[in-house]
Amino acid sequence: MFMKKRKLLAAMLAGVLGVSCFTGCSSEPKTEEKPVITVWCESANESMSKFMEAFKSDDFDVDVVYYSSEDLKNQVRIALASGEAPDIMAANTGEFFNSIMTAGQALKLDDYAKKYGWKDKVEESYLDSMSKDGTLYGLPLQTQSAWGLMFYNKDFFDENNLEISMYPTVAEITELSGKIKELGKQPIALGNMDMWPGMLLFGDFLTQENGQEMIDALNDGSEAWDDSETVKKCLENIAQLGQNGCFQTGFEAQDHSVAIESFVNGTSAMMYMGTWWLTYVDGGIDNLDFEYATVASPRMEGVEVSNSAQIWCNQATFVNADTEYADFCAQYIDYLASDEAAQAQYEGAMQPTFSPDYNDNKLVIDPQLADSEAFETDYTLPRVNYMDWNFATSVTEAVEIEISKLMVGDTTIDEAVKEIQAVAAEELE
Amino acid sequence: MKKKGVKAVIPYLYFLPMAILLAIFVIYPLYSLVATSFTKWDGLSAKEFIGMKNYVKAFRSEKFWYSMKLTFVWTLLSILILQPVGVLLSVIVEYVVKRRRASGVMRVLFFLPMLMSMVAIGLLWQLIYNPSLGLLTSVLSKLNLIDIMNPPNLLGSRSTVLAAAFIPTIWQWSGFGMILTSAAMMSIPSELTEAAAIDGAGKFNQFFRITLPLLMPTIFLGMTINMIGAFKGFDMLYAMTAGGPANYTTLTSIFIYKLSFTENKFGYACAVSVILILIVIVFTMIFNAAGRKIDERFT
Repeated sequence: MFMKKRKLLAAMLAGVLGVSCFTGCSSEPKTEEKPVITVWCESANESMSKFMEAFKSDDFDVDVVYYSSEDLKNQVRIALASGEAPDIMAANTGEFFNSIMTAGQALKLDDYAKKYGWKDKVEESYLDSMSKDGTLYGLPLQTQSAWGLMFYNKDFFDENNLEISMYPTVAEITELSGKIKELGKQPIALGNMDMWPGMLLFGDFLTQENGQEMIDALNDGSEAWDDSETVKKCLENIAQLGQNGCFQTGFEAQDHSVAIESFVNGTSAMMYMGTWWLTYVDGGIDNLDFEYATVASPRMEGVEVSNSAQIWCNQATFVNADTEYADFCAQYIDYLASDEAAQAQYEGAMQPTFSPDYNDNKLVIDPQLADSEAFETDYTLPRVNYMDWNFATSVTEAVEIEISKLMVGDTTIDEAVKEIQAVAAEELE
Repeated sequence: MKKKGVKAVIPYLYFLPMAILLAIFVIYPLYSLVATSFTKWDGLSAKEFIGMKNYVKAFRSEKFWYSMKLTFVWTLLSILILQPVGVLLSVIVEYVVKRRRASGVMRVLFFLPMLMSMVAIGLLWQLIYNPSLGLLTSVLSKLNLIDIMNPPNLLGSRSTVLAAAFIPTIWQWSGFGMILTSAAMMSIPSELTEAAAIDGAGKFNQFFRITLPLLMPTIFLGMTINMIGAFKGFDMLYAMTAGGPANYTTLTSIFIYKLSFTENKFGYACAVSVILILIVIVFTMIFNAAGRKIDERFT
């Protein structure tokens, strides 16, 4: 009898518990939850992060997730492969974004581009690499970073009566590096651990005499790496700089952030870096202990002004083709393409933004950078993508490895181009 | 009859959760790895079956063999150095340091690096080694042992980078060997050494003729664990050198990572992974067989 009662009581309690679980907050008034679109992007500077998160809409909310550059690439790839990708993502252009477009994983943006007038709002010259077969899949919504410049500690140069021309040759840089070392400083700060700086140095030499045509020819196989005199000449100049001690000791095994630190703290007298280094200075560029100045990167013999310049406005911001909220995503992308967004970017980076209107109407670069003839000239040249995004990644990897070896004399020019050509030929198959 | 049948099933039910976990997290990924190794896949578009091409490519690739060579050197260093240093540390802690509290503190100090993140250690040592800004240059130049304009470039030179990158591994992993050996030392009956002492054996003989032989199975176990760890070695080395300069520290694990996440060749990377797994299995089997012989010989 007692057992029966206990069973009954237990059943009643379980019933009550079950009902309360399912009813939960049923007495609360029902509220329609707004959809949330998720945005994955590269870690932004503070003012841009604030801007991205400040978006308000009656129709939807936005959740912004930041990743470091390398993490973002991996996360985007894994998410797309598993079908769990967010609504909006950013990806490096070049082979990676090309494979996303080819796989049909990015939403076609042509209709939205017309509706919101995006082609007028962003730098047109970058849109080709974010399009396939004439269809637009992404927008370049970051700042424009120039490569192809060198920065030097003007105070140190003035104190020691050192001179450098606006377009210094490799021979001039070699001689200057020797003098700098005698004065107890390291010459050019460079961080080639991740090997892309070496690739961009190669790009600087390549764009001095050639431009996109040469890159296309190497890509489609009409110019072989081991037959190209231009390629060999570029590699020879890189080898000269590396083997003649123009870069600071240890450049092979330090990354670019350590190189920036080395220039900023006065260990190195010069630095070879993209213009985005300005954002790396603790407390802002005003906190730099010395005045810096800008010259062009080392020139090959007989070249002053380049044929084209490596300037890029990455990354491709694109919409997941499977998103449920395509219209909301377009609305948010339009927010990121506004003049206010350009303003936020400039405040954080002090560099030209994605917006041609904003760049034309406002002072958009650090004044010390703006004073440089080399910088100004670069911005008038035909633009090519940063060199590490121009070739198939396996070819890029091969070029980077051979450059690293050349810089320390571990291979010859002929061996290097042969290695690269082998990989390029395999890629063409 | 029915009850007997149910009873027979019950033991398998206990096993079921682990079997499910094993199937999800080990067997399926392994199957997927092998299946992908026969395809051409960039990680985004559809997989294309290409048979054995990835394996043929790997066996013909100089880069693959170079990475295998580096992996074997790294593994050999791990087998020959980590556990013996661990034994040395345990001897210091258990025999040389007399005070109980001091030996406890030392044990903690030696083991502490094991608790640190591999990536953090890689970055830390990269900075220590940095010729322009690093601690090593700073200390050596203060002691007037180097010319500040020509500091040692340990991570930047082909001839020194692998050895320099291995030093943090010793610093981190020897503590593991020490704990393993210390635990084994404590389990050796004191009667054995006491009897030997009565028979006139000194400390040296007690250690080399009694303690060390009894430790051999444990030392060998430590070596096996270090061998498996070395074949998989990635995090710290990648954080410290990213496989460079050039590809001078690109062990097979880093080679696989670069193939997958830099070159987007997932099919090829899977084939190289399968080869690496098979090599690890073969070496583990050899080590296990040798381990059994050592067990028979010393216990």
